[in-house]
Amino acid sequence: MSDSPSKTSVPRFRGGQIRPSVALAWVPALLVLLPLSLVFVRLAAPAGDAWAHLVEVLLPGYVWQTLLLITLVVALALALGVPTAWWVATAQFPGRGFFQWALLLPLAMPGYIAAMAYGDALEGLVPVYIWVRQKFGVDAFLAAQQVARWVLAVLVLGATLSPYVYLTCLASFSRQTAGPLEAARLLGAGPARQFWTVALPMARPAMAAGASLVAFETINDYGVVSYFGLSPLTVGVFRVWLSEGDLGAAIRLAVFLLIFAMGAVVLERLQRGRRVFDSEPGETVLARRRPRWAWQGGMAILCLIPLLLGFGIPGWRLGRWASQSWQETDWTATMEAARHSFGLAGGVALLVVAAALLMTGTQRAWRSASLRVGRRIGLLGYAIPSALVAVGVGGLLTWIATLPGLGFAALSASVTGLVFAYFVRFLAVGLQSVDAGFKRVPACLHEAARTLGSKPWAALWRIEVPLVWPALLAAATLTFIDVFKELTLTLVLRPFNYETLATRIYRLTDESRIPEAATPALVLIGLSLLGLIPLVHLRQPRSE
Amino acid sequence: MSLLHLTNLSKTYPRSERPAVREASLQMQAGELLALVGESGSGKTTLLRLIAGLETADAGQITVGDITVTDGTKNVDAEHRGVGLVFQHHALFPHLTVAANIAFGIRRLDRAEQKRRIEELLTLVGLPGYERRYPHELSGGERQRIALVRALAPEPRLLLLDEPFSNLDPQWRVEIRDETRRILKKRGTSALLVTHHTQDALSVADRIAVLYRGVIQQVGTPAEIYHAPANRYVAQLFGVCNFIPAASLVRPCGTVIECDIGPAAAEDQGLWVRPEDLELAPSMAAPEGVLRGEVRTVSFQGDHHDVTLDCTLPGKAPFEVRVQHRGPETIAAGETWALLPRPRTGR
Repeated sequence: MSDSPSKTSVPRFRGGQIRPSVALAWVPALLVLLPLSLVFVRLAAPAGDAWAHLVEVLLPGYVWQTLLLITLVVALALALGVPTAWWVATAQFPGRGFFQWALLLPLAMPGYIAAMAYGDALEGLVPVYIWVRQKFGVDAFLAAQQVARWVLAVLVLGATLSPYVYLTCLASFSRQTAGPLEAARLLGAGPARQFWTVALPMARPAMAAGASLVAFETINDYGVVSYFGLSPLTVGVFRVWLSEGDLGAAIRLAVFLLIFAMGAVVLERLQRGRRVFDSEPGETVLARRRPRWAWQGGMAILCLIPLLLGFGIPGWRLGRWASQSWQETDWTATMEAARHSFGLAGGVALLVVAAALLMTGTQRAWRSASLRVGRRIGLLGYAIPSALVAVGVGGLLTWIATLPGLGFAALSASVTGLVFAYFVRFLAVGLQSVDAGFKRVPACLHEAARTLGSKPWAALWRIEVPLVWPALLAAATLTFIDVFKELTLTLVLRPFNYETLATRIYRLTDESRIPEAATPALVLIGLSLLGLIPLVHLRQPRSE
Repeated sequence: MSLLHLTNLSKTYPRSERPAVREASLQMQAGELLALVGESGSGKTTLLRLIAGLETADAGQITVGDITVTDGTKNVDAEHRGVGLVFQHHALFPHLTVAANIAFGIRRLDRAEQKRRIEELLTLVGLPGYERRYPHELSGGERQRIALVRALAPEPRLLLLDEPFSNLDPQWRVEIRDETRRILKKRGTSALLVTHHTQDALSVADRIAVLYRGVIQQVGTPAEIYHAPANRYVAQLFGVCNFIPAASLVRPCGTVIECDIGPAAAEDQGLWVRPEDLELAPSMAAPEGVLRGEVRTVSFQGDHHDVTLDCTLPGKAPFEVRVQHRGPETIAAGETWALLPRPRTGR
């Protein structure tokens, strides 16, 4: 016989006609594509004079600030995340068990809330500014202010986002590299050499994954950078769109953001290479070394730094403000905002889980190649910058408002638009979680049910759903928390006079009513902490 | 009438150069136990999944009983084929009890009838009283038995078994293998079994089909496959086989050995002989023209010696021959012995 592909005389055929279920599973993917395609359609329209002016005067600054911000924040997140993950994974020191989960806490601290807690540090710097002005002149004075704002913005973003790096690196150190590390130790390598020659090179894909998450979040941030008066692209997009009313230019600017986000994706892919990242934990259980007392103390103190910066200090300050302003808090408005937040987050979580289940389940039942493409598109949503989703959805609503009888959508935005934007942005969160759940259920169970006479949907309902429900719950929780904390999209797409907890906190901060914002902020942080529970459970190394 | 009829079945996976199954044709009678044997990657599992309806064929036809389930225009879904499948890793539903697992395929029966059948099947495999256990509480052999009865419960017209014995400890393997055959025969179930273990196939199956790189090489009874292999691949798959680049092996009395197999490729011109079909004779006593070889290794196997000899023939490259020596003579490395065909008895 020959190896050439068969050229059979019988015509090739596939399963036949298009299945309704498969078509249905494409709906969420198409929803994600909708605002994106609108952006590209608008991109084809000729640019106005405003855009030419923008390119000449403002664009270089926006791009430069975005690049600088991403670089500094990622660097800080790596500096805080990698060593702590290494010590927690490989060394025995006082408080190690506590730090293992406590280092995740900054994830529950939204950047714009931490920013407000650090914000008045700027006021504390006034004597320094005066001294600089007297000593070095006006230029130095302005530069010093600029530097201080940058330092605080980078500190807030880096500290609250460092758990992404910590999480991915901890998984890498305690699972993938355990065997080689034992081998290195037996070959006489000390802890430092193990770290530099084995653990760090092997953890590079994990670091890249964590760093790319940090980069995405930095790109999406609006609260922190606008609070500290920085002007990266996201701020630029909203300035052009909302202040100058030029949607076309805003869309063009947002596409630059997309380039940055795609750059992060590509870099991460290149780093990962052909490695499968979600490998099963190896057989080796890493025996932790017990360093000398001085070292142990040092590790505990250094692990405390990211925890304090990203959670302890802002949390403590908020607590103090909240206890002082308890009476002054406008509870009616706060409860109203909380009700909106709960409604939105709950609704979107249900929608996202339903869509994720639909997409993953149909893929399991019909294994159509087109469904895999659909799922990829669904995952794409996470890499689309918030500003781009915002202008896409905003543009879509504006266009719908031009249709006869739909003018009410012209009130700049509606709750439906907001839900739609959340869905686009956070479908990936649910999809990833549900996907992970399905991966743990072998496909042969579904096939067994089918050969025993179950129809596809019945098999999904009777076999997969009971087995993946923890993943469904985790997906719902994570989506809920993400929507609950979301500020950027909410701020620009919410209907007039419609507040969520996040926007209320931001507005109060903006109006320098910080103590009043403290109570809702604590409520929000408390809820975000709940979101960490599935994360801690899912990520716990099995060797524990 | 045949129970299963495959006609020119072909399947190529996307992004694969070579077809996984190529123009496979096969017939199976009702009540028959057919083994599909091949190495990993030979396409045997693909063929099984095509029959079960878990994959879609590119071309060809599958008929189960009198119903065509796959042809150029239609493809009946797995759940409507009436074909049962025992999975390689059992695929028991971990969240359901043994009874619920078995009942999964017979939901349409009323409760009392379900209960009766579950009891009957559990008794059949020697696991009565196991109804309320969960799969994780079972041993490997017990899981295998439950997987078998779960597939048998809906009384499928055809049962497919994918590597059913490959995950079992060697000590259980033979027992479960024999028991599976007993159960299938007792219930008169027709079964198609996929395996890469030739021993499983030889001892369980009524007939064997050998698959190599997606093409069915030979279909026959175990004896036919072993003693009259269709080609070199089949010959070597079922045990050691010597290739001797000569037209015939001659006994002094003129018997020509009959174990030549064909159709051989041009460079294969020669004989294929199993080690047990050869015997050694003292070189001195053998006449001119008889094949001779120098003993390289001898290893004692209890009832015989495995002897490896280096042989040469004029105009041919040196080659190696392995012989099962059962005679009383002592053989030592370095000696030269004559190789003769062993007279066949009782075949």
